Amino acid sequence: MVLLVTSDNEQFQTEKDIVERSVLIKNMLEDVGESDQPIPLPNVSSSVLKKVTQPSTGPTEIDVRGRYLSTASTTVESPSRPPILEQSQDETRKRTTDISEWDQKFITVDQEMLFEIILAANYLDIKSLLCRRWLQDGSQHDQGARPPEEIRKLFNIVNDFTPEEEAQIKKENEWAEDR
Amino acid sequence: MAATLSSVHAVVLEHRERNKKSSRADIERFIQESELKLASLESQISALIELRDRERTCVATLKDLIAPIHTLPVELLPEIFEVAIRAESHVEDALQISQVCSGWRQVSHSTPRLWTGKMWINLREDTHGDREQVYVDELKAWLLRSVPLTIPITLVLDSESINNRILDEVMRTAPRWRSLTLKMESEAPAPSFVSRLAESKLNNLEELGLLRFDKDVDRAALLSFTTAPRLRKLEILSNFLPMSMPWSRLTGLTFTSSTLTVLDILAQCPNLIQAVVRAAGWNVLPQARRDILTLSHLRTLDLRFRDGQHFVPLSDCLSAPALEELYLDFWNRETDRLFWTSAHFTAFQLRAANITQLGFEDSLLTVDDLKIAIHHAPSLTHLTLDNCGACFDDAFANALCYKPDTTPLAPNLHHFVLFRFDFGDNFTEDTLARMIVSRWWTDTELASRLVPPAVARWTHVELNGNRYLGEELADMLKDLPSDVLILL
Repeated sequence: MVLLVTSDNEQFQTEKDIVERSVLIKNMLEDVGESDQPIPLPNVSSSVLKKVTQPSTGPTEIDVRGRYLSTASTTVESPSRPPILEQSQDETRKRTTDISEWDQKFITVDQEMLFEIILAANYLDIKSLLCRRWLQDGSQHDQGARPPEEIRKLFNIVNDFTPEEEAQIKKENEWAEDR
Repeated sequence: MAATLSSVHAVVLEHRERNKKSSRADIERFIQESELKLASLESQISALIELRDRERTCVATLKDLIAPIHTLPVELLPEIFEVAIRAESHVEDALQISQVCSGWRQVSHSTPRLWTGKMWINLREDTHGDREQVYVDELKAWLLRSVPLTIPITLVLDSESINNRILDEVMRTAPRWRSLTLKMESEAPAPSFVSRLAESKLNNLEELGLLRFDKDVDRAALLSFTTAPRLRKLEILSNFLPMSMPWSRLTGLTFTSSTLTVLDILAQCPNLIQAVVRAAGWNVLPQARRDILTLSHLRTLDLRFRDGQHFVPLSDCLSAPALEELYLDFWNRETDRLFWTSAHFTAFQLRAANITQLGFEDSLLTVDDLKIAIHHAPSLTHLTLDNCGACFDDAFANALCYKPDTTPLAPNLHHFVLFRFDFGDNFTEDTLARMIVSRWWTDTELASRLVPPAVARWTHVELNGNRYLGEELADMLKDLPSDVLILL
């Protein structure tokens, strides 16, 4: 077991094979060798660390603000293992283009947490979490990137193109269709 | 709010009644007054619509300012964009991402690796005027975004006339081509095209695909390819095999060959790591036996035979000590024509003792043949059987089945694919399911065992029958997670 200390000073006893999915932690562990010393993670909060290293224990419920509830009427099946242990999209690319339910849930209801997780994944160097298909439509198999309007709506991004840029984009799309 | 039919009807009745006795002049005046009112209303509506759109933009801009997505550092965006761009739809995906907002456009346009997907470019001359201009401009813009990286290009020629403006833009990128596939679908490509290819500097070309090349047209181009200093992989699907290729430099080779030349060509490629050979099998065994040809770097060998009765003249002469993946496809064979001799194959396996992945397609292998082949591949981890009904039966499934007190066949096997099969003839759903279940444990079950099982746990089981695999089989295999078990 490895002892991790988060930015808000919470301590987590976590199995070594789980935390070693993080290249950062793996390297730290290799550097310090066998030791009981806690590993500080100043850029990761306890709520984020919980989300990526711990599986939910049963059907999980989320309300519209993205908070997890213990019981409620609308259930979403929880992942069977910690997200950190899921394969990266690179690893699964040959077999499927689905977005996992876990990703889909976060992208639609809890974006603040989603982006905190991406930042943490980047800091901890966890490819499997960073390289997910946030921009793809998970509703169908073999779906490519979401259309620009959908991405804007989903992430509250404003369309700030000039009329000239809009005209250029129209040409690009004509070309893409013409290919 | 649109007027309803009944309210429109009421207005009609009202005005008919009110103006029954009005003079024509009065009515014309009323029309004029109403038209003025309408113009005023239209103007107010336009102003309101503008105001509404302005407020909508205001709300969107304010929401944008506090949107969580802006907490992501800009340098992370290319990583996320890259994952969202799939190989099969990379043009549409990359364009869509670059069309979200000016920030994303700037980031994507300044990330060359997002624009390096394989481009299919049809050189046919069927666009003209403005459309041609847009096509050429946008193709040029697309190709420029990947500078300075190398790119894969596929040129398709399906008519004798070539659009030279498109060709000009493509040829400018020739020094950056990492891979080039020429797909000739016309009988005779224009000589100018061939000579331009021959003149181009292919300094970065590593992979070349010549599909449907005919010997009458392409010697000059082929000669230019032989001088490409980095060329390492060649795929040539043609009846004509050029003899001037830099065979000895190749690490990957896919080719079609007659039985007479297949060994001659392989003999010129001592550095091959991967080879795909499409050849006719031998109908008559050659009289003289050749010396053993050793391909000491070969890791993947994919042999696809057509028609002939024998392939042993090839396997008997080949030694591949580093071989890991072997795929044998007896495509288009007629029943009972192919001679499989276990003794010969075993002898080959002894010269290729490191095989971990075996695949057979359209094979008449018997169960015993397959057992012997597996027995001589002690490191086997992957097995694919495609349309090989004669080599899989209940006894074979039982031999693969894990029972704690016995040593099963292929203990390291964890990736199993069974394509195009039928239940009932040789084996049953029940036996197959029992075999699969015997080699599966959950993480918890594995952790709780004092002694680990003597066989590997499945990482991939794929069953694709000739008919729909029913609920019954799915139910028997319900313990295997969906990322391990794929039923089609």
